[in-house]
This record gives sequence, C-alpha cells and structure tokens, in this order.
Amino acid sequence: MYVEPMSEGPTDADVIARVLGGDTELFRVLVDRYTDEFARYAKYMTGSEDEAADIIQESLVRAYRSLRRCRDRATFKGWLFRIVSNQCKTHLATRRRRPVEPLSGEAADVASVDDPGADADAADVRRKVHQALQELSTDQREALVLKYVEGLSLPEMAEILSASVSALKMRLLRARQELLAKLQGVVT
Amino acid sequence: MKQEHEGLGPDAERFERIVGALDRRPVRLPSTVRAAVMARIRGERSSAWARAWAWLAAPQLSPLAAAVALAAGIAVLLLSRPQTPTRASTEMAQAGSVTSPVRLIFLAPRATRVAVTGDFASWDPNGIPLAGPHGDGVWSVELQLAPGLHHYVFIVDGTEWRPDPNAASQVDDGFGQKNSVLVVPGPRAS
Repeated sequence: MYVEPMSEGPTDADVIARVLGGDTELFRVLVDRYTDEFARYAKYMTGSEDEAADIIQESLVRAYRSLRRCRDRATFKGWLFRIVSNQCKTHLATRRRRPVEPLSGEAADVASVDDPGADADAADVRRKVHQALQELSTDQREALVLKYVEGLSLPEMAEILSASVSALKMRLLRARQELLAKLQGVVT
Repeated sequence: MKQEHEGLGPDAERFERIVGALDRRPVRLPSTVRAAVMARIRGERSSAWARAWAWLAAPQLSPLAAAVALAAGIAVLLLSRPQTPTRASTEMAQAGSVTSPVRLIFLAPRATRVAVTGDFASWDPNGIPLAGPHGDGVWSVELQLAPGLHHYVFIVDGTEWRPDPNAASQVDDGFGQKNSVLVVPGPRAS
C-alpha cells in the first residue's frame, strides 16, 4: 500500500528529481497526491479534523525541507507516512502535557453520524467506539487504525513502523483486549 | 479476518462488531491546506534568497574580525599537513576550506556497489561510491571532510540505506531510520 501506485502523471521519483532540480512549484503534484491520503489516519490519531489538517500541512512542509534525504524516491509515500506518524506522536505528546480535557464533540464526530441510513443506536455505538479508541495509548491506537481502518497487512505495518511482525502481533492483541474492555456493555 | 483476532476467544465476534463500527470513509481536507503548504514553501524559498542577498549586500567583516580571520587562516595554513587528494576528496573538498582525511569502510560481501551519502553530500541519493569489494567484501572510501559532526549512511546496491555498524554512535533521523554519526577533528599539527 505504501509503495507508489501506478497512476497517470509523473512518478513521485520524477517529481522529486525535478523539485530538487529547482522546479519548486512541481511539489504541488505531491501535495495534491498525498494531502488526503493520510488525513483519515491523522484524524483518527488526534480525534480532530482541524488538528489532522495542521499535522498534514506541517508534514508536507517538513517533507519538502528534507526532500534530499528521501532515501528511496519510489517509496516517497512510505517516507511521508513516517513523517506524518512522527508529527502525530509529537503533537499528541505535547497535547498531553496540557490538562486532559474530556473528549470534545469534535472528537466524537470522528465517526461522522451524518449517514442518513444509520439509526441513533448505531451512531451512538460508533461514537463510543471512537471515544474508546482515543483513550488507548498512541501506539495501540495507531496499530488498530493501520490494521482495521487503513487495511494494512502486518508486514506492511512492520515496515512503516520499523517494528517486528511478532511485536506488532502482541501490540494488536493487547490493543484489541483494551478496546474490548473499554466497550464492555456497549458492544455485546 | 477472524483468524487475526486470535487470542480473543469468545470475544472475537464482539471485536468484529467493533471493527464494523469504524468509519473508513475518506477524509477530504479543505483546499486551504494545500494552498497553505505551497505558500509556506514559496515563502521559505524567497526568504532563503532574501537571506542570501542580504548576506551578500551587507558588509561581511569588521576590520578587527577580518584581522582575526586572516590570522586564523595563516595559522591553519602553517599547521595543516599537506594532503594528496583522491577522486572522492576532490569532489568533496571545497576550495579554501579546511578538511581532514576520513576513511570509511563497510563490509558488504554480497553487494555489487556501495556508496555513502550524508550531510556532507547534501544527502545525494546516488552518494559517493566506495571502492571495492576488496578481500572479504570490504568497501572503502577516503573523504576530505570539514571538522565537526557529520551524519551519514551507506547505500547498498543503490537502494538499501544502512547505518555504519562501525560508527561511534547512531541517531534517529526523524523519519524512522538511523543515521551514523562521525566526528571529524580539526587538522593535526605536523
């Protein structure tokens, strides 16, 4: 998933080469290509679309500044993801130093309830699932989001998180157990 | 997917329902995010030019500082031992800069080519090639580097970036990988 997909237009590697060659405006191609790509992940991690937008913006600017250090230009997407992931964790670590606030309505709205087909009970369950996710540790939340929202395989997760598959299996197991415990009585 | 919930026992089905409640719809960020990224990039580019122009336009040294710099330059010329430049060192050394010779070696018996890149090479993904393999798969290169701290990695077969196992220390590069750290002392007195 984190290898550049076959698509029309210049490859990421071509764009990077031209940006580094002085065509700064061409970075817009990568901005257009990836702004929304990791927005869902960042929104799940922070519980807020506004914070996700800030993180994606900062990540793309950092990627531009460090473009010469992109080691394998064909896997720019995975490299960018690691920047987004690090930005999320830095952001969350900083935020935790502030007094912990109760989950805002915005955070609860991560699972938007504007689906006209959903009834109130289902929407309530979604809100509580997302609230429980926000209460997990950052690493556990990240593992669950990558696995069950982004649909990554364990080897893909191991690569982008620089962790072993066995360590991730254990992290996922504990995350699932934590989530189940928090949703005792909510999801039966 | 159920087999991946191993360890949950009877809770596996309950976890399936939790997973079913997760929202997988794409998140579309407002176009202002894209515009803000490009505006910041343009701002950085223009401010870099502005800084460069201001540096060129401004008087660079006071008479006292110039005298100190001249004295330091003469001292460096007197104390530095002459070096025979290699191809790599010729690429790396900048005219007038003070550098010291550094030999990097890397063991990669199965590699077909090895290069090194780092801050001293502007993180060029092609890097500076190492010569080799010599006996037992040893690759090496001699560089002329300015005194100070340098971060670098080896590039094996053009794609695999690996830190130097012989380096004194490794640091996180901020992107989930490790960079090796090299400390280059100033030129030795002869």
